[in-house]
Amino acid sequence: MQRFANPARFMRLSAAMLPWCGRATALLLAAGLYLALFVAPPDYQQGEAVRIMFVHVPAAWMASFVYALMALASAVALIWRHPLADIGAQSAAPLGAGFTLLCLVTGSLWGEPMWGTWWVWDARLTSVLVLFFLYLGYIALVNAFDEPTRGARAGAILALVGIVNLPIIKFSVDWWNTLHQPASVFRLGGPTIAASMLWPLLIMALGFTLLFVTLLLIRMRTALIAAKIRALRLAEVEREAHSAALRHRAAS
Amino acid sequence: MSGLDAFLAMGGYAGYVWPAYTAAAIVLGGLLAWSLAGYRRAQRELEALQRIAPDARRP
Repeated sequence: MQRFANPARFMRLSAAMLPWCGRATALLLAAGLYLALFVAPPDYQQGEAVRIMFVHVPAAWMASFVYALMALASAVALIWRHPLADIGAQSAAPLGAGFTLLCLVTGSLWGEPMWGTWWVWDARLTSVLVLFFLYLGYIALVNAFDEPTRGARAGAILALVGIVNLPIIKFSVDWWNTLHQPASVFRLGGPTIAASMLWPLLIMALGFTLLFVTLLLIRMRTALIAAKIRALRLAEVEREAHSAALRHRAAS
Repeated sequence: MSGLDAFLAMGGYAGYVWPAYTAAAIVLGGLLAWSLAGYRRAQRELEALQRIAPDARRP
């Protein structure tokens, strides 16, 4: 009973949450864009190019955060077989891949004017590229099996193995020489970034997070509706087979 | 240079700043449009199925 009660409760709860999440996302992204483009000052070294940071850094944070969430959901799916955990992980994967792609593209656009190169095979950039391929590999693996439960299991194991990449991404700027600058917000001793840039960055990051939550709810609801459609179709086929059998028996 | 021109020029970095924001709009807007399209398609399909087989309507 628990198995069926939880998705039903999720459908009710998410239906109530969705409009509010959508509105909060729109409001935060609008405020974040205004602060990033009009209010935040140009950097004393980088000039106006620093405005790329307000999309690059939130995208990078989301890339890692979504993966951590996906791995956590995969662990829950493997250990407790919670019916929503697999659906959550699978719904999050394309969103994480999107954030990672955005992080790579905006990083490239920032690297060219600041470092003089679009791309360099150093620890930070390479480990984020690996993260992007982990997302793609997970999506491909989940869909590679005829039986959805086997795909979900294989995907969950890949997601858990891939989590080793997250500390490598985070500490790559400390462990190896890299063109990429070290952390300036989440570091011991507090942020080194000026408050006039930190606030727009945090509001933008909150907007990205709420956008993720909104999209995750939409995608999880879609997956649950799809499961219900499959169940209805199956019931239909069974009913037809049953009545055909009855007709056959009546005729003979 | 007017205020708008100066803003659009982004201190000479227009060729990097605007593509970055455009990429964000395409990727995030694309994810939203794609997710919503799948959601509405699934909702329509479920409604159609429930119309054909109303007795199969279970919670």
